Amino acid sequence: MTLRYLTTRLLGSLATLVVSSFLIFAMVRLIPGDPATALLGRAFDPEVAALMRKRLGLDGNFFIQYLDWIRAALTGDFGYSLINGAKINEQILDRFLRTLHLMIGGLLFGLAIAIPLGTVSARRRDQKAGSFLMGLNGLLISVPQFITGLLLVYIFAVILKWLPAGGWVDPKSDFRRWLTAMILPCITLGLALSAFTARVLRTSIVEATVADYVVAAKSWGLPERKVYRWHIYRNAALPTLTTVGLEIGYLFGGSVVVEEIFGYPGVGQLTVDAISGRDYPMVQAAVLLFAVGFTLINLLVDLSLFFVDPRLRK
Amino acid sequence: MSDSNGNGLQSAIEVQHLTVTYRGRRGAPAVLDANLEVPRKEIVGIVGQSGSGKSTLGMAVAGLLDPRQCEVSGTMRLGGTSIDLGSTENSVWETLRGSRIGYVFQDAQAALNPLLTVEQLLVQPQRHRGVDLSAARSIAREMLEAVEIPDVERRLRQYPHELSGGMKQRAVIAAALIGKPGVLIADEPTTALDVTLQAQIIRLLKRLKDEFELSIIFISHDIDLVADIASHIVVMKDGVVIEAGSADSVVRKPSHPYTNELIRSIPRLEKVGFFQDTEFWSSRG
Amino acid sequence: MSTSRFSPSQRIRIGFFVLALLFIATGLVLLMGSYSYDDIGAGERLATPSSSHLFGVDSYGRDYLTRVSLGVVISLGVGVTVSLLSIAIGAPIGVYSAIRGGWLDMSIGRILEVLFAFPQILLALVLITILGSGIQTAMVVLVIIYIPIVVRYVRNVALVEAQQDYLLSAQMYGSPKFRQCFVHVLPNIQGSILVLASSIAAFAMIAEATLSYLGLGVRPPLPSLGILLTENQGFLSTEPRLIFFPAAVLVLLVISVNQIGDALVDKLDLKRNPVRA
Repeated sequence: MTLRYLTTRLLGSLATLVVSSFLIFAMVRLIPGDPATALLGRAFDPEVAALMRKRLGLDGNFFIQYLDWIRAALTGDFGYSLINGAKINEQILDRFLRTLHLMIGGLLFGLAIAIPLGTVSARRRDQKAGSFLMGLNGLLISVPQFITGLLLVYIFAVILKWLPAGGWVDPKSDFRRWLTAMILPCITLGLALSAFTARVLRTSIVEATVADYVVAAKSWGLPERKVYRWHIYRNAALPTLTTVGLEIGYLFGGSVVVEEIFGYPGVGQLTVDAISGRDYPMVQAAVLLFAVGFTLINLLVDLSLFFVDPRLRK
Repeated sequence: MSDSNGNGLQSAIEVQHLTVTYRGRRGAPAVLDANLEVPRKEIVGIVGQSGSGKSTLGMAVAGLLDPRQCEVSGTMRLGGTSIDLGSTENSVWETLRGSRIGYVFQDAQAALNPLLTVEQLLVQPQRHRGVDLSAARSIAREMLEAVEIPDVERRLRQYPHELSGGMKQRAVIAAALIGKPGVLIADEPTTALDVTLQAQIIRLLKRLKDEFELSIIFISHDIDLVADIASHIVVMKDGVVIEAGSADSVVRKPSHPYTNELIRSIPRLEKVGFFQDTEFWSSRG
Repeated sequence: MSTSRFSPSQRIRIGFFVLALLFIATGLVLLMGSYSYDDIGAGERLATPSSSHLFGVDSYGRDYLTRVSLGVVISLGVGVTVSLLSIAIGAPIGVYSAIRGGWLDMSIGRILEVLFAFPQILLALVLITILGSGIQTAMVVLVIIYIPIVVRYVRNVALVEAQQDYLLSAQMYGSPKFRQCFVHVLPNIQGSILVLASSIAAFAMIAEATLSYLGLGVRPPLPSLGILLTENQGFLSTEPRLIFFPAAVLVLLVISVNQIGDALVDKLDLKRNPVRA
């Protein structure tokens, strides 16, 4: 049973990756007009244009080109950037790691905010504290992420001057500076995640509180505290985990914006620059990495849910 | 009330002037001035339609009503001690629930936490009372055997969704009795089951009553079923107790017209004919 | 779920009132104001607010009030258009799929599953790379991204509605599927669709602002609120009003739309789910 589920999920993820990579590769072909001409502009030269088309994978058979690209990608070779001519993989890998730091930090902050927010607003839902927190939550959801980011920069970097407004330094050379520079971007990223998660957590706790199995547990003599620990929190965690799993995908998108706000040199910033600069090979490489990361994380989340919820195992 | 022999024995549980109102709801209270007495080792049936207040009464006695939604008043005498039914002191109720009063739920599926194994569900309430793990486990095992669940070892490790409807109901009964309460409140324990299972559960309850010396409050809308199992019957309508007495007298000579209606509304099968070796039965309304 | 002291209808009215106010105010500014949004000679650069420039002047010498106003119009326009278009296309598909059932519904369900396996951001980025930037492309991209969301939502709602007895009896009478959709089901899920419309409008406004902020949406000098934020971010410490005004206005827009949506949910729920014991 477990094996069958695992294989189905793995195959599903693999299929998603294949289709994504296909679309990403095809992306260049779908650009209206001739990209080579557009890129060269006034420096147009038919030989250079032909070379460029070759680099972009526009000449020759589509499928052969696709397979070549995939084969190269699997070995980590994404070709060369159109903007600076340097090898892509050298530029991407470091950035990808930095973005990963950002995402992990964001996740941690997000949970650190969401769990108390959700729990307290659930347990005190009949009191003023509960409604206040709910209102706060609603506000958090409404305000776009990059606005909260700008607001945080304004308060903490401009007015209070406690934290730097962004940037990045190598943690090996100045750990403290690296850490302080990470705080605001991670909080911004985490806030967006936490707003939704806190709301789901609150709803799940409230639903669990009035569920029949909780009344049953009470009828068997379990005290309030134990009822919360064994029944309410445990059962509320499930839909919350599912939501967090879905939200993790959002972290990818969110990081693009956050990197832009704080000038954080991650792969998101690279992608945005590449798109504006029409550096197609770079865009393809970056988006492919995104797709791989996203699918992998979703797979991990699904698998962990499988282990947590016994009902999925039947 | 006295028991079926007419002797006034000390009752297992006595409820006096129980009134339950739902907060924020205008109109008649869910239960109004109900009085109830359950003689020891007897079964008292509470009968009524949906909305008659019978389930609310059961839950009030077990202290399971949400004080945020309901206002309860009245007293209960349980084996010599007097308890204020309107009390919101958790500590008072926590000593009663499970160890003095047990509750069997109608919807067994909903009463069992889907994330916990049967064993975990049965062991937890015991652990809280200070029973050590291995003792708790063996008691859980004994309890499942007592409710006639076959293949106990396997069932203990299973999750609720892996059990059949009848087994879930038995598991709920086991959990209710695990604290060895003297009083059991069974709220429509058979309503969700098909007729054959119903009969089995009824037999089980009768047996458990003798084995564990229980006094049972049996709540149901089915007066036929109640008449079968209970020695005393209480009839409720719109939150009020309209009739109470021994099962025999209530069914044979009901004094209230509503009771009469309840009895008459039971479809009874009557043999109406005989044709070529086959008996024909028809229901009479 | 709301514990606001205002009733749902009141909240809807407040939301619309705020939006109308914004719309009228910006309309007045744009129609009667004497400045153009890209007129770099309008005033002294970075001048603080004064009677002739209510929001002051930006770093290029343009009147800021005009620019913010046009930004509001762009946001509202994009939000409403994207919402209407994606629902106009997605809702019929969702309803028809739910009613028709069979292999069509199954295929659509599968396609939706596959579509949702990809992060929206990726799709947006890819589409923008192909189609380029600009306000029209941004709207097209957003519509494409939101259509699957609309289809999934409407399909789910329609499926629930389809279980209702009145529809089953219509089927028994042999009513053609097409007719069933539009005469029976659609009117009854209007409420849910309205809620969806407000959510999508809010999302679209934020998405448009974000894309413009990244330089991938509306092209300067057109002053989308996102563009205003990005071109003036450097002045956060010296002239915070340049960030404050567009940010505040955007937040106001989004909150109003969200409030309308939330209030609609409450209002409709009250009709369908009477108080549970």
